[in-house]
Amino acid sequence: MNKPTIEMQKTSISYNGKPVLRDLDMKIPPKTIMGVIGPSGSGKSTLLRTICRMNDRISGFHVQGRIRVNGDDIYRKGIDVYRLRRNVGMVFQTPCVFPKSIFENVIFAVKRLCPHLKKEFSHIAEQTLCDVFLWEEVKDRLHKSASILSLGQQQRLVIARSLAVQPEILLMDEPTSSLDPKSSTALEALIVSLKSRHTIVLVTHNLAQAQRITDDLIFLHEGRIQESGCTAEMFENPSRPETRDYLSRLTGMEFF
Amino acid sequence: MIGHFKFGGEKGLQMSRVFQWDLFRMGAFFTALISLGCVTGLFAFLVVQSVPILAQQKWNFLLGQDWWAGEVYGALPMIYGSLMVTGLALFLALPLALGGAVYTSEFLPAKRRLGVKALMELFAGVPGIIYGLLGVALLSGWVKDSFGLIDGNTILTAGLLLGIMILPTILTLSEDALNAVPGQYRDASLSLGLTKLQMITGAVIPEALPGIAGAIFLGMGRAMGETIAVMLVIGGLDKIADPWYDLFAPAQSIASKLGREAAEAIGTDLQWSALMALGLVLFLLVMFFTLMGHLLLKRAR
Amino acid sequence: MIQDNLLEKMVRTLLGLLTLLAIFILLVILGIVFGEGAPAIDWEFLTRASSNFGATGGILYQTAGTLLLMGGAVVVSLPVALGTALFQTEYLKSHRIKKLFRYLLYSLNGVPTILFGLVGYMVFGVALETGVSWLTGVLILAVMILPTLQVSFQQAVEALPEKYRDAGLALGLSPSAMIRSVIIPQSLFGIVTGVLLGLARAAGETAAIMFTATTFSGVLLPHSLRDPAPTLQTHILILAQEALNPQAVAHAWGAGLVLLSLTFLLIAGALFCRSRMRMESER
Repeated sequence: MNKPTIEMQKTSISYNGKPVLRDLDMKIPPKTIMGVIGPSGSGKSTLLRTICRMNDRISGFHVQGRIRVNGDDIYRKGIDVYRLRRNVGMVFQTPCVFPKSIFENVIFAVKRLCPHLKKEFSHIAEQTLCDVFLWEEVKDRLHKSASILSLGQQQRLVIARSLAVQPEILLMDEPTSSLDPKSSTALEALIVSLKSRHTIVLVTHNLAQAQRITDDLIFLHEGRIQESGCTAEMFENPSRPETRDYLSRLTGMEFF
Repeated sequence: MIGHFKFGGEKGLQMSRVFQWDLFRMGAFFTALISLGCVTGLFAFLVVQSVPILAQQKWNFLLGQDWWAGEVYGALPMIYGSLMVTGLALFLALPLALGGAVYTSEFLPAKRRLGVKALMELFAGVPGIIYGLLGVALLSGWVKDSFGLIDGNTILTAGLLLGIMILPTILTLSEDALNAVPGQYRDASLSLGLTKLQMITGAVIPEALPGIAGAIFLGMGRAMGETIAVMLVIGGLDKIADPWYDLFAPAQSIASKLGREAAEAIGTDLQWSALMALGLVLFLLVMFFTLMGHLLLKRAR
Repeated sequence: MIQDNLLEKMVRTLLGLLTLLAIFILLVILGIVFGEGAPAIDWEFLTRASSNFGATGGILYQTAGTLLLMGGAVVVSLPVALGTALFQTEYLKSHRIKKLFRYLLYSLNGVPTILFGLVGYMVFGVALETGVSWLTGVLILAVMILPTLQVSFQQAVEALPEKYRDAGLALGLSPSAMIRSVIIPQSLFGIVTGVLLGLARAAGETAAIMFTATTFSGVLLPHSLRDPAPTLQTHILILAQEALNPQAVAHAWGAGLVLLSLTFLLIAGALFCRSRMRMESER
């Protein structure tokens, strides 16, 4: 068994004294896709943002318990937050593409964090764009504005941008929810392909998607982990009634 | 005439779309026309009144360097004065205004930020004459003593005063532009591991640039148009300084010239026309800056 | 990394200092006006007429004149600004014409005020034969503050929650009836904000009125529409140019403090109103 990449022990997260997430205990093994599902407002996004310390800006934010990435408590004093964020990349629901060229977007972070690698930039750009299956489509217009790309392409560009700083972990917050079905499917294929080199945590409200591509699953309900475990098992044999209720949605509505 | 209602059978209530030219609508339309007419009327007026002097002197009006009432009217010294004083004002105000804008938008908590903005709005409303009084009673003397000049009324004095005057405006508008940058940009930058500084310089400022440029243009427009304060401290000499970059020389801006000579030119023909033409030049310059400013600000939103 | 944190702290400190400097300069100006002006103000100063070309006596009539011009300007400008704002929000549909309106009003706002004085004198003073009088001043100032009022009104109307309009439409109100019974009553805060800002702007204006509304000799209150009126602004202007007479300068500061206080009160009132307007619309 591999050492878990992300680990939480008795973790609670609160805003101004009001708890949002409680009693979190989880171990996310490396090079897997961990899905996080649950009804809206159950704290899925907050959970993700906490792992890369993106909630620091919000006043009144407080974390209790331990959150470890690669064995290191990320909320301890003296931790290099920037290195953490480089190592834990995040992809948001709507791709946020800067008003620059495609090339400039991909190397946006690399350029500023590793200016000494200047000669490598083109190579890095090509490599990462290939990794996200975007290279063929954009190789002739690298210096055109990134806004001309479709949403699906932009989302992939954003992932390439994160990959350029070589993260070990990728956190994805509903990455396909603003995409059309065709782009969604393409992105899912991309996520699966990334599994071999990265640990992925995927928040999704699309249960069919969770069933398709995740290895393990965490079901969040009212700020607590109701159930967690292997995806296939959870869908076949959910042990808790809340889980059963939630998963029964799959037969009803969304079929992306 | 009130729009009348047709009661159609199954279709229910239908209101026929007759033009409702009732009193209110007519009134509103009329007032709107008045508003539109003001600026176009002003422009037309300036143009018409400028015709005599331009017909007589043609390009010499803009390029001539001598202004002797009754004989010849050359606007160049005034154009030079306006540009110098505005340029100096910007040079002095921009570091403070832009630095303040970045600090207020990116580093201050919400309450303090609102405090700063309220303060700036108060100061933007300070009457020009107050600055003029400050200039005449205190600043001129200070400039004179600090630099050992004969007279404290110089381009420097006017530029200093104007710089303070446009500082609040540029600060608050630039801050608006920075604050308007969506949170996603900041999130995206931070999630890549960039520091706050890198986020600001790499993502926030570039995105806010049109808005900041707009703020600067608007500040320039205001500086060029300011009459009273400049009039009192610029020295009132219709000559381009020698050398041209001598900030300690007295000069004349277009606005200050208009302020000084308007009263005595009433009733004259050519002199009045010359002042109108000068006003037209000022109008066009300020209009350019103001409209550019608003265009850029609009793009930023 | 430590270097990053250090750099960020340095930049933050530098920017903070610049901000403080900016605020400091403005506060210093406030302090100077207060410091120089307060000694000159006493009950006599505020309630007596000026004498000896302002070097002695008070500023009673000047204050009255300023208030008269401010008030008159708003009275004249308000209906026009309101009508224009409402026309744009309620009756106008075309985007291109809306854009035209916006740019023309922004242009009007940017026009150097001395030009208002010059052209205004010719148009009102000469052509309409109102001469150098407080009426001319009122008309010129009214044109000048038109954009200020108009923008505030428009913002207020546009900030009106949809539910009010929906309710009006559901009752079958025509646009005009809607304005009368729904929009104006609900936008009152915004209208007041605009009025206060307009008053403040008119109070501070000197260049537009200095040779159109007033003369520089001992003028008292105007008796008719054709009379000039003394104002605080022009009073300060005259006194300021007598730099060698310390008493005159002292009086100039005193008048300046009164004018500044008036302006500040108006703007503070407007800011307060605007924040109430925001609170209302967020409900």
